[in-house]
Amino acid sequence: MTRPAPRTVRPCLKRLGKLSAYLDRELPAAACKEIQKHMAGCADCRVVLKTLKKTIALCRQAPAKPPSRAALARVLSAVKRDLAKSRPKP
Amino acid sequence: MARVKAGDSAAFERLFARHAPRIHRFASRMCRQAQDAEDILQDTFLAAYRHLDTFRGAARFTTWLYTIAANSCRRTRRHSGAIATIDDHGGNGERHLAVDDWTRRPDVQAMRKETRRAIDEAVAALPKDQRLVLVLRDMEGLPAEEVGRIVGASVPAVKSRLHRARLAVRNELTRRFRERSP
Repeated sequence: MTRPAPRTVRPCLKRLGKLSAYLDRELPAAACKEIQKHMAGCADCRVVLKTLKKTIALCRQAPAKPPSRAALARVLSAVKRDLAKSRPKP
Repeated sequence: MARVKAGDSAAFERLFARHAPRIHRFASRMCRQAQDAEDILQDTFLAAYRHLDTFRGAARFTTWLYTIAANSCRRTRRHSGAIATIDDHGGNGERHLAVDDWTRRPDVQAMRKETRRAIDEAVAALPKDQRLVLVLRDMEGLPAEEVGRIVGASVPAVKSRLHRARLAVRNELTRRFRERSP
């Protein structure tokens, strides 16, 4: 059985461009109020805002695997080897 | 720094020990392949050592290193292992947005392995200039001004790229979570 196509909307483009700035608290108070007023009456934009906010949070929380000691030692040796090769011989 | 410039090998090793984990983390986020991350780390420290004379101290040393690493990432062709690149248009840009609310899914709440993989893959599929900005700003946590210095762009350009990148990742996550819905 094929899954129905996802429901998509044409976003309120004028406001959409400001959502990152809104979430980063970079907008002036008047612009924030305008967005909040729109959100109060637009369920689709509320979902876009909520999922965008969660996306940013997930990116911020995404763990990065630290390099192993062996990997760092390997790279340091390679750097030192390359530097030694490129130094002029006495 | 003066000791490193004077050729003190132990001082260089201390500098490497202090900064290499951060640059490796950045490189891993940019390219996802362990070997590429090591290559970028190696390129970065080689270039940093060779050009140490040009570091004047006006910027933070870490900013300078990030700049070298970012340039190395840009040169890396085998960069992400991404299956497809998300572009600004088509289904992933701003023209149409999927509106499923996936924020309360248990796998998202718990940041399970598959959620982490979905984020990694969505970030990896971004165009390189957007990925650079998103990794530096949202994953490495640098201020927009510093990101601008690293990528050589104005703060408004950084913010614009960041917004497009966030929307593209959001749309990709929405698509993936929908496919995984029971």
